[in-house]
Amino acid sequence: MDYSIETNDLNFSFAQNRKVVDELNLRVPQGSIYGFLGPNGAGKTTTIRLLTGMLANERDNIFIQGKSLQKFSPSIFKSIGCLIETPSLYLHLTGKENLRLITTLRSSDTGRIENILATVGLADAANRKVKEYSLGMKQRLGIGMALLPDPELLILDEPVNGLDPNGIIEIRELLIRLNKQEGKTVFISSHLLHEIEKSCTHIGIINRGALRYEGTLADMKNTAYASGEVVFKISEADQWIEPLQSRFQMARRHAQDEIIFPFKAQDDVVQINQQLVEMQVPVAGIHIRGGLEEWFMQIISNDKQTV
Amino acid sequence: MSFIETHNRAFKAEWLKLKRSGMFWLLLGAALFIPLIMTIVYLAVDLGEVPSNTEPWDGFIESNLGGFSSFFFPLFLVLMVVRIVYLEHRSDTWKLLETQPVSKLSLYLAKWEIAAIISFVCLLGVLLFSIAGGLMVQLFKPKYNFGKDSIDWALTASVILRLWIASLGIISIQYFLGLLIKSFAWPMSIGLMAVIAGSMLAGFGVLTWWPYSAPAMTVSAFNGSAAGNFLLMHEKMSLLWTALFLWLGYQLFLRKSIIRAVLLPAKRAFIFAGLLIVFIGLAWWLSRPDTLKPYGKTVMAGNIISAKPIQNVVLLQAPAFDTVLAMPVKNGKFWGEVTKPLDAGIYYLRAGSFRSQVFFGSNDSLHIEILLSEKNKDEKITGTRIAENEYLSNQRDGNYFQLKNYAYEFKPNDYQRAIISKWSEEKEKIEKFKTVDNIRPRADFINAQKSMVAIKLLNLIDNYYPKVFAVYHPNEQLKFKSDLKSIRKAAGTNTGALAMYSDYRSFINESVRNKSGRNDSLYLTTLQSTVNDQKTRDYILYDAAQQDFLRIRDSVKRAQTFTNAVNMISDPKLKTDLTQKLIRMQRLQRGQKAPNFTAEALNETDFDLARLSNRYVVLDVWATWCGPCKVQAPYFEELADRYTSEQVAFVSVSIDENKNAWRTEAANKKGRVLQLWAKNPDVDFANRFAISAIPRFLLIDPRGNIISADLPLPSEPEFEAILQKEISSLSNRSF
Repeated sequence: MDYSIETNDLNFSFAQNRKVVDELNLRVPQGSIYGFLGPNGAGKTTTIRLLTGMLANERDNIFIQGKSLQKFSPSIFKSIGCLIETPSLYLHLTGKENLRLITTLRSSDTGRIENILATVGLADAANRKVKEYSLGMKQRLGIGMALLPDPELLILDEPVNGLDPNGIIEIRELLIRLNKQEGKTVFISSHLLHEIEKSCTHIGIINRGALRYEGTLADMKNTAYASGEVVFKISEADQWIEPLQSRFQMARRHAQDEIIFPFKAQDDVVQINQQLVEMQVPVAGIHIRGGLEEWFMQIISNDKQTV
Repeated sequence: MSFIETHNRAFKAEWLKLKRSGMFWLLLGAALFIPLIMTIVYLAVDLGEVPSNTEPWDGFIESNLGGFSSFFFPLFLVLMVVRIVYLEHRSDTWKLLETQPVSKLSLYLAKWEIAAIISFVCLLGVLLFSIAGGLMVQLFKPKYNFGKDSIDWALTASVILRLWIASLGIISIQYFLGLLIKSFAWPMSIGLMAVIAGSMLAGFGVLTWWPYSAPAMTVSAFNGSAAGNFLLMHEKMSLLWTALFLWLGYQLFLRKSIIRAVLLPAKRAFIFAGLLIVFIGLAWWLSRPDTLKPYGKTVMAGNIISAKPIQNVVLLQAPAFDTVLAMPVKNGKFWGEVTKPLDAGIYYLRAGSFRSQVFFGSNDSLHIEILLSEKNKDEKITGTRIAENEYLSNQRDGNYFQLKNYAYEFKPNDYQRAIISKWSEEKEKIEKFKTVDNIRPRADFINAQKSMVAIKLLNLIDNYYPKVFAVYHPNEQLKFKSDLKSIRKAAGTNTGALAMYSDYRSFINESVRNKSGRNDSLYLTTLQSTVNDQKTRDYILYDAAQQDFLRIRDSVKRAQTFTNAVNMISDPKLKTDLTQKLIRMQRLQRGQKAPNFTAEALNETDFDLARLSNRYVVLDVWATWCGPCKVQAPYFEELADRYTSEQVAFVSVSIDENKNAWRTEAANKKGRVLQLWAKNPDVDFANRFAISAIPRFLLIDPRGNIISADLPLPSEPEFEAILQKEISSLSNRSF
């Protein structure tokens, strides 16, 4: 099968006139790390709840691993591991007992428990009640519970929520490893752009319930970083603004010592720089502004204009 | 992946979740509480002497399960289910469960099953602790007989099972509530209020379909259905509640919102409406009351456990108290069959000093269990007249206080309206009555009871109110708006069926007296013409002869009126009985030798009438349970103080069955009255002295002859006047 997750015109509303999910057509390729992006309230969690059958969907238009979610529930969950919103943990049980619960429900081998505990860094805290865990520890346990059944598909809703920078890196590397070495498909939802950028192979952007963009990371980067602005720090900017404007019409002076050049492709930046060097412009610093965030905001704001 | 397989996984997971959840301690505490208190009570409080053949285990287990089930058990169930559901709400672990390869149905049912199992374990725990408690009592208080008795395992098992079934309705509803409201406090509060309501409703026997009352109702009918069903009506209702709320809860679990579960889309609303209709239909069908069918024969049987040995159990018929059945007691059991037709009505049961009323008639089979111990007496009646006898034993007489004592406040039409509204109130009470077992009395009983109410009310408006009216409105004529046809119809006079009810006879008697006044011969002729039914007439004459005619002072007139009455009676048994009474009365005429009696004094010396020879004896026959006797006592004692001398003795003889009761009261009396306790009250006083009502005062001369066998009351001046007239040597010690 091509797609790990596929939806066809998925719709959902809680109340009569407000659609929370609007004609969503997701295509999550097999073996990818798919980043599901969107601002708060875009419908990410609702979509995930629909994908996992937690919300009742009228039509049969959700397919996981090629199988209809409606027809193959709940056995379809044999190969899915989920972490949705805050981790679902039994506070009065220990970390190990929580994992034990998963193996009981899935009738699976308890041998993996020790491995998982080590993988998520909870080997020491395994026998303490979850009540006593810190936020980060709870998050790790949640991830561990999703990983425990060795699933082919991982659905993680904001998995690095509450983790410190170290933790974020660890989880990122874990997911990449699972994907590259074991071929697992990972579906992550997040609102952390730069995190997604570092770990995903595919991106999907959702806003107001509708999918605004879907594509590979490479494509996205090309598009996102394709256009933007490059800021040159030049000490006597007013002296240089006119000669530069004759070459580059769109150049403009931003501050006393900054001149901004918009560009459409990365090559442009190289050109501009070479030109400035030729003109012997005293460049003190270069940095590229916007890019991913801007592009993202644009995608989101397009919505508001069309509505 | 079969349902059974995922179900087992879900079930095991639920067990794992109970670890460290506090459920064990809750269970332990709930099961231990009542048995612990009961055991302490039994050990600490002295229950008096208990007959050696008592069966204490039954009562002990019943008290324990009873005390537990009416309030604590439902409360425990509410708390337990709310906890089990809240365990998931707390950290929203529902989403964890729903993303496992386990069917939603398995997840949903697993929790319910755990709750049902915990409920059962709790009941077993109560039983276990009760047994342990009983063994403790046996250890420290062997006199209570726990060692010699055995537990009725069949009954106990059936009660536990029925209590468990009664609990399922509560569990299912609380489960639904817990899924509906995702907090701890709200489902707990709603459950608590429902339990309190249930306790009260069960106490009043109202709203028997209320699921939270079910355990209380089960233990109030501890021995189960008297009609032979295994489950009582409310237990079947509990199963119905379970079915409905299991379905509702599952829909809610699947669809997350109650609106989407039952109302949207339209198809669901139809299904829900359909289910509701089926539910209400079944509930209505279940709650229809049953009536018991007659038995082929007319039999009475039973057990009697008593400290004092009892030879016979007799069943007597009003008004003459002739014996319908005389049943000898063998090994604590008695049995009797009536071969001739028997009118259905109230009969009187006597066993030793035990007295009770039973409703009985042709083709009825009754089983009666009687327990008589020093401090307690208990009677249980089962058989074909359960509802009737339960109604009689619980009967709280309708409140006629206002109609009687405040009659003068009412204008005629207002009084009539009050009578009519009382009629519909009482009528509804008897028509709506049913036992916990959902059994209604048969039509003959209902009609008889309605007649009795009608008669009471007619007596008030026909006989009593006019008298009151005449006093307060002497010059006005009494006119009523309506003739109260429906009430008169219900009273159904002039048939023999009601003749055995004394209220009925008094009513007729009153009506006839109103027309005839004090003229006795007019009374007899009026009675003849008014009452067509022979049996009724006979019984009324029997009453009148004893109450009115036997007490006529003029002995010639007395004999004549009495004989006229007896001649009007057709029942030979009654004739003979009255004739004997007359003879006895005549034997107690002035100048006749007073019958002897044997008695005992406070210092336990024997006494008889002979010991008081050569003295005038002013005799007072009384008992500790007789109110009017207590009213007369001070007057009697005052006269005794003044007139006791070597020539005159004032004697009070008590006919109390319970010697200790007499001793306690008599020992505290100061004064000059000689206090005696009759050793053979039935023979000596009821029979020979023909005393059927107390207090009775007699005057006997020094030679042992009767001067008067029926003096006026000491509170009347005539009493002292007679003493002064009759006793020549009377010396007054008044100051």
